[in-house]
Amino acid sequence: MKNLISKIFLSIAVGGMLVSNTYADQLSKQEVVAEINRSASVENYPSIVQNLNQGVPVETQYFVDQTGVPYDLEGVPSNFTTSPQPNVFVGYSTAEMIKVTLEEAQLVIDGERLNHYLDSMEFVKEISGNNGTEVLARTVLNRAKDIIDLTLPIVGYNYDMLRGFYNLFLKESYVLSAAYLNNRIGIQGYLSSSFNTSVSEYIETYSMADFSFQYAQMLLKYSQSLTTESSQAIILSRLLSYIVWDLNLDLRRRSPGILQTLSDIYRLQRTQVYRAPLMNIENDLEPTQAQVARLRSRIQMILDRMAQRIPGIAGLGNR
Amino acid sequence: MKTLLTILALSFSIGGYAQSPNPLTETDENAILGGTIESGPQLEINLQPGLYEIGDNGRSSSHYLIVDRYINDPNKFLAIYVPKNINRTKKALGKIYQVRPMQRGTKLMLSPIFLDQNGLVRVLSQTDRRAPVLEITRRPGKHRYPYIVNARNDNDGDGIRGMRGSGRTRPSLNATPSNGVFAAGASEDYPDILVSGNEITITDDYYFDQTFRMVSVNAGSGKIAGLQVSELDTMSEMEISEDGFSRFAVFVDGCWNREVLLIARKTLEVGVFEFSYNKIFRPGLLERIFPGRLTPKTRN
Repeated sequence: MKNLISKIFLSIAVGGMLVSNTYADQLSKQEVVAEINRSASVENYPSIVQNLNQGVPVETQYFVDQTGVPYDLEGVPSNFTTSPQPNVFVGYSTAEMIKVTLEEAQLVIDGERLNHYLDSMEFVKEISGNNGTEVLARTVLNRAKDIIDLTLPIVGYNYDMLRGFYNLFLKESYVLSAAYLNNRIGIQGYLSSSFNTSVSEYIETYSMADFSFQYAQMLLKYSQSLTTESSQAIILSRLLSYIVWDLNLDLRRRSPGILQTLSDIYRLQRTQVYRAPLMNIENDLEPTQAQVARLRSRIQMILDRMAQRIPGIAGLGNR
Repeated sequence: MKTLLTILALSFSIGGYAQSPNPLTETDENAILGGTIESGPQLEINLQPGLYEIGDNGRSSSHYLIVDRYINDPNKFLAIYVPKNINRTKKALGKIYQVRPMQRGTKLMLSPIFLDQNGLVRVLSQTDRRAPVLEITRRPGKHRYPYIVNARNDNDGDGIRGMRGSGRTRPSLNATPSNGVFAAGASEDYPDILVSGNEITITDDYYFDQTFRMVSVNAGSGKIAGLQVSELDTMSEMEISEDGFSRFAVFVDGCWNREVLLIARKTLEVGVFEFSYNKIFRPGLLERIFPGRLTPKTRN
């Protein structure tokens, strides 16, 4: 038995040598080029193709554990191991990732910038994970995505301008998100030097009501641009839902100021002023200018009262 | 007592005959609950794109209003408001308006467009309940100025003026120069402003040779361009521009004797722009500055 096994091994080894020698000798120049092209092609690595089909980006192949890779594939990006992928996000903190995203965006052309912001958003959220102190940062980014998803199909025909509109919105969302991080030391300099925002740069303490008011002010600005009435109506109605969400999470939610604001929104959401533009959109109609104007006016009224009723938020919002 | 009762009964019955009941008044409830005020004797304004003149009744007009239809809503317009004598003063304060119909089209509200800190284009009337706006109505009959322009919320103290369509042949407004290339400058030796494709290079007192990318605010057929500061990234071989606008530009042909580029720069007052008037170099001058053949001369 032992002899048999050793014979088999020998024959395989010799056969391999013979094959490889014959193979090398017989290859013509054209065939060498063809072989190089073949091995360089992604399709010839079944695992990569498989992963691509499953939506796994090729780039992750670089981060696999490299033990046990067959000798002829060493150094070549491939996925021949089953060990878990190491966490590639530990290199950055959330704040650093936001900073890098903003810096990189300055070097990306306009058309790609929007995708750059949206792609990076996933990384930022991945890094942030379930970190309790970064809830507001993630909230801002989630809402930015929400607004874009809802308004993009109906925002208007002036495409070049709208691309800039969304880029500005995402940029400000990132900056706002960074402002609500605890470890934002690196970002502060960035904020104050190159981007003007209504957000206070040095917020030491904040509450959900503060956040709610500031976010509403930011969103209100983007409902005042040269977009369609339908997208403006969507931004305005979402703004109300966001305020309700935030105020319900405020620790002072039983205080009269917050309860009254919630009550104002509840009442508005049951009027035609709120419902009519949304019903138009549901029926594939553009809301009228008057409908949106009235909705905006009522929301402004609620925000003005909110600033008076809830202590400490008006000063920040008016900056 | 009996006589008194008879008299009373008689009087009621006579009264009843005299006031025969009318049918119950039926009201259109939506007309009351709808909340819109019924228009009075006002006329609907059917504004058309083109050039308008604004002025006092007794005097000649003082301002131009250059009107273009707004792409995202055919009922709205974009309009540029500049003094007529800008061709002499070269620089003047003006505004860019979004024209919004109100009250079933019997009124137009001209709300200033402004650029905020980040370069986002916003409409002033949507940010403030007391924004300075112009209100336009039409009056019946034949008048020198068929439209009335009322400055609401103390818009520069302009008060009430008239507006009429310009008698000039309809000028063309564009977001790009009519010939694709545009050059203008104070001295005719070297251009201070050079437009090529969708890029504009401006040399002035404030910036030294700054290049902007022109983006149509009003889409493809737009008449107004927003200017984004841009740089040429030589490594990626692409023009990289900022997202926000820093200025506006419009090319006006047929209003003054040659094609003119109006560039609007922000001022400290929200919604007010400083317009600069840049007349294209006279025909032939561009060729003199940049002489030469397109292709090298060949032997045959």
